[in-house]
Amino acid sequence: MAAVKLGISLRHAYGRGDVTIAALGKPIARYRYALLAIALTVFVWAPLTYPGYFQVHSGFVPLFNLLHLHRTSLDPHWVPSIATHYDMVRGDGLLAYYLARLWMALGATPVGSVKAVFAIAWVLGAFGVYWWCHPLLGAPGACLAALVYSYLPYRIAAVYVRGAWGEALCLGLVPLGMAAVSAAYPPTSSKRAIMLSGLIWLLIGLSQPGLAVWAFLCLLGWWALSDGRRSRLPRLLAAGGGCAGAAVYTLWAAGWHTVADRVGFFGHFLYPAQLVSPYWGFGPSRPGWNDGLSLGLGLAPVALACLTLLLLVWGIRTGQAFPSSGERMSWRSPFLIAAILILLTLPLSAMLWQLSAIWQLLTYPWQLIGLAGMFLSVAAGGVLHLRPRWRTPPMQTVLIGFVLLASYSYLQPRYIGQELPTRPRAGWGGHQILLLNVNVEVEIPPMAAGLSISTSGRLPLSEYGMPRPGDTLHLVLTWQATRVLERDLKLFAHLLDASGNLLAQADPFLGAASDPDAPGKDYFTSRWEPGRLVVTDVAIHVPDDAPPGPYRIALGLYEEATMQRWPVDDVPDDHIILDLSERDIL
Amino acid sequence: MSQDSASLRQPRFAIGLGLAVLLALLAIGPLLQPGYFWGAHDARNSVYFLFEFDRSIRDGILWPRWGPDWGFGYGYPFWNIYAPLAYYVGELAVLVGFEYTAAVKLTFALSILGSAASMYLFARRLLGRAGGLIASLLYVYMPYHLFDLYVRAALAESFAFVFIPLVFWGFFELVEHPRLRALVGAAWAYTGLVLTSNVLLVLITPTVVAYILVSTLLHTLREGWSRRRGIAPMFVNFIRRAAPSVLALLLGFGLQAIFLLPALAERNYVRLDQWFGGRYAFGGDFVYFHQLFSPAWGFGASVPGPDDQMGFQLGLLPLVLFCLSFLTVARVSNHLVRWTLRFWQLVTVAAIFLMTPASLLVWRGVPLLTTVQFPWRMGVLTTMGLALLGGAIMARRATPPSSVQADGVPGWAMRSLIPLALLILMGAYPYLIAEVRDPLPTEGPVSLAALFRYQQASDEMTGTTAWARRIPSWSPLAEQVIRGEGINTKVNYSVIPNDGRLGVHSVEMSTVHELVWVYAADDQQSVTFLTAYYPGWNAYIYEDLKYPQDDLKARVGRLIARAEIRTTRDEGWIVVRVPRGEHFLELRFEDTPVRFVGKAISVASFVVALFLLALDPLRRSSRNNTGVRVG
Repeated sequence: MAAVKLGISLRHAYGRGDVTIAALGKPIARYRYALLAIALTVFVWAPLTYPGYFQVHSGFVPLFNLLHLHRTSLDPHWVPSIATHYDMVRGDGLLAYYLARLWMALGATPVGSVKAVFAIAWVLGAFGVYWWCHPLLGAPGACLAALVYSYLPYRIAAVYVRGAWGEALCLGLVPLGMAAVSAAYPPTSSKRAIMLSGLIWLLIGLSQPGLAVWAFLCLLGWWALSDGRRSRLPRLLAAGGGCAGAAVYTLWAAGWHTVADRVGFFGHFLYPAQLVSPYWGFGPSRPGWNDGLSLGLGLAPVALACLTLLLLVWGIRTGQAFPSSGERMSWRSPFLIAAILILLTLPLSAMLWQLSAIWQLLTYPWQLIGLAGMFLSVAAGGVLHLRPRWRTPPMQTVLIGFVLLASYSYLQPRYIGQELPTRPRAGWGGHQILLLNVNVEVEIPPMAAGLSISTSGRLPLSEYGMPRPGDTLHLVLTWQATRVLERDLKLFAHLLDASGNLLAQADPFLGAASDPDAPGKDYFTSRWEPGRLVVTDVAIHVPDDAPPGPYRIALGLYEEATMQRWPVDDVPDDHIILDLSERDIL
Repeated sequence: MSQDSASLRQPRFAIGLGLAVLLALLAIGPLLQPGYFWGAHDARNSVYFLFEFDRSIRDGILWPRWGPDWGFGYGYPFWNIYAPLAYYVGELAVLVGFEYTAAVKLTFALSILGSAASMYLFARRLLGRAGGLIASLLYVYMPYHLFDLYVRAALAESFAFVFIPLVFWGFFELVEHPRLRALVGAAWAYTGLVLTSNVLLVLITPTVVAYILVSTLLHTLREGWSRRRGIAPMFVNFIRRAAPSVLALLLGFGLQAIFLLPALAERNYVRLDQWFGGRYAFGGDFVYFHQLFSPAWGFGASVPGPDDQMGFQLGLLPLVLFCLSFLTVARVSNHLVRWTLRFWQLVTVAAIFLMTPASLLVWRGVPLLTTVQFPWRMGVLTTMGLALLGGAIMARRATPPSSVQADGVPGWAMRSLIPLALLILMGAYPYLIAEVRDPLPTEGPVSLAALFRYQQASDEMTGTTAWARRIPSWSPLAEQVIRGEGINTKVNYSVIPNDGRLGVHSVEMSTVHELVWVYAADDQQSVTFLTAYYPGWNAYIYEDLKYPQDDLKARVGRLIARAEIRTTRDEGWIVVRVPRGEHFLELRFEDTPVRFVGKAISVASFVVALFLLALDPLRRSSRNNTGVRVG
């Protein structure tokens, strides 16, 4: 009977020419704005489909640790430890690793799994904002708000510049958490709603604990300023319970791990101009105003939020007010909370931070920009709610197009096409600088005969065999900084014979003639951007009178001013040894 | 009088069309810079193709087929297999006095304005003035269109953008309201497209055929179901409805026959590996998913893998509008317009799929696709589809049941037209750049010597015929020109023996013929011409009248025989056996039977088209007199 009815409806529908709509009909029409919001996030996560990875401040640390997690059996006490010091409050939470591990279990590659987490964060964020804003702003407004949030420059930078996957996941889940607490449910679903709130906030807490606390504070503010506080109290409490549960779990699983303030929290406040600056860069955050990355709120959120404010003020003045004071108060919430969060990123809030000691939840004060942007997005979506005449498809296109276009040029990560290492070769200075890859090549003299040369005068050591006296070796080293290095380091490479006697050495500044953007120019370590791959080429000549091999190379870093060597991480030594007698020295 | 023709006469129509063309002027901006964008991929080809075309036209050959200077002077039947219409436009500019680079730029500019106008006309027919304007803007400023203009400088393909909307407009009219004008118009539009770019013939023809089949079928089924007809009457109705479109296609093929027939029949007489092998093989030019959405833009090359140095984005605003079209198309009440838009939704999705590596099996399974050369060429279809569907955003819910959108633009559309148009322009603005620079010594200034240097440096325009086993990398002709001497003869004097048994003296030469006086001591002598053999080259032996002594050309007597042509083994040069004694030998490039038949078919089709056009007003007039509504 159902098939007959479907057939009849299809025939009728076909008679109107709407086969597709008739078949898929109501669900699509009903949720069209939600689907649109999710579909239009494609521009922001499409770069993740590049068949490779990208250069970000976090480097390959998530990948290294994900692979480590993959190799260990299901150990609930596992924490990231490769090339990083785990910080249970300010660092990436465990959820991102668990999610990525799940993807790997389903067959995804490590790189694909990490990128999948980023993509999930974006899609969830769009859906969460839509779900949260739909009762307040209607479907078109919620769709607009979702897109404004998805295209926040801060969120784009969090992924494609910083590689902060814990924070990205947290920002993706927070709108869901807000929706879970704020949405109106029928009384019969109240228990499920409470459980859902608790679960989502548990996940938020596991994604980035410090930021999750701030998100919960924002939720408290939102709850306090909105209607129906009493009915939402159980869900709020469940959310708090979820956050607390996350903290308990993390403490149990990982133990108490924190890292001292390495970057100087109080040196990283924002200046007002930065909040509205269109600047885009891949550099690090630096003390003062000259940050190397974008920390702005974004043209679209600010412009549309201002437009909403104007419409509200104009509405009040012309008497087109709001049917109830409740609605007036709920309109205040996003502006008030966003304003408070923005103020907390400015230097004038330093006293407040110090007095409250709450700064220890975050690495940088500007990490609140993501949450501020979320509330600005809600305000931005109000444009379509307050101006129904703009809900025509063309005007919606203008607004949506404006939002996407404002951030479009930021969607160009620095891709890495080559194969990635599974773990660093070595690290120095508490994982500040990592040696990712070592290739040794032997220079072929022009007069050599009988050798098939395919490269420009060099052969990989694996093809050449044992080096001999008179050969010139080239160490091609791939480095990556995980933090800003404040000084220029020197590299020492000592050629040793079998007995450990020094035969030859090279002591260049690390980064000499290695600028990735200007080949041949120097790029010393004080200029290194976190996450940027730097390839250095160090030549060592084996003396003609040197004893025959096998040879070894001792490699390390030191500061020229003090002649102090940097200790190698996780080993009780200040240098690593490369054994040139092995065919594969990696 | 039809509502459509009435609307065409209204001043508002002119305003809309004028506005569409006016807004397209911004896209011409980069062309107004002094200089030429020599660095664009096909920029040099565009100039030197026009240079060669001009050589033939100035020789009095109104439909060139032979390119005399391809392959370092050995020649190549380029215009026999490559559509020439865009170069006729450029040639007009050259004849008026523009230099070659300026003529090419002018042709690009006209293509931009023409495509704005043609898309406006088609989209206005479906979606009204506002929709037409938006579609026109999107069409001109689509990233792939700008890519063809300023990154590739692909003159033929850019010019073809003018005809694509006209083709689909014509066939829309034939399905919606068949009449003679529409039949002739569709045929001419299709002819214009094919004569501009034969690569797009492979892309557009199947799309047109699919559109005809789908729309006619849906139209027939709709009518049949609503009138509760049986299968047989519906089939007859289907045939009846499809007939005008089929006739238009046939008329189009007839009009194109002067080019298409020889191009298809004689394509195997050139080395096809130079067209579809090596860097022109499709395997390394798929577009990765992220590239479709990336804002990256560049002027570098397409390389295997995801790290191309140029942009393949579909366009941010066009894609937003495409997503919204799934909501707005349902609002269109006219069923044929709605099906047409849905058809383009399907074509756009299919074209995007064919750009990606996921479609590799399809490319391997459909040999015809290899003529497209590069998967990203599907951008032609996505440009058309995304532009048209973008215009659908202006479709309003309540439309009259007539097939023409009401000419008035509702208030809500006007309010959003300006911001939407501005946004489209803003989105395209960063891509309105051309890399203008001075020519390298291997590129210009434009001259025959520069052409040969360009051929040597780039391995472009070095096509050879199927008789050549070796692709030339230089030639004595080119050497002569570089030294400052002209090419006065293509006789290969280096193989003439010094013993006096053979004497040759060139009397006159043009791009497609050479007349030489020849003395042969015996019947074993041959004259070799530094010309690649291709069907159409014929050799004739004439009597030497011996008088007047001082004017060789006046001594050419009667035709004695048609000489047999052989070719050299490796180079494929023409070798003609000459009889004993003193004679004149003429080598001439002529029409083959296939080319002659093609010409005849085209002429006949042209006459038929004119006849149909003349018949149309008579038919309409007679229908008016009988009181039947026309149009």
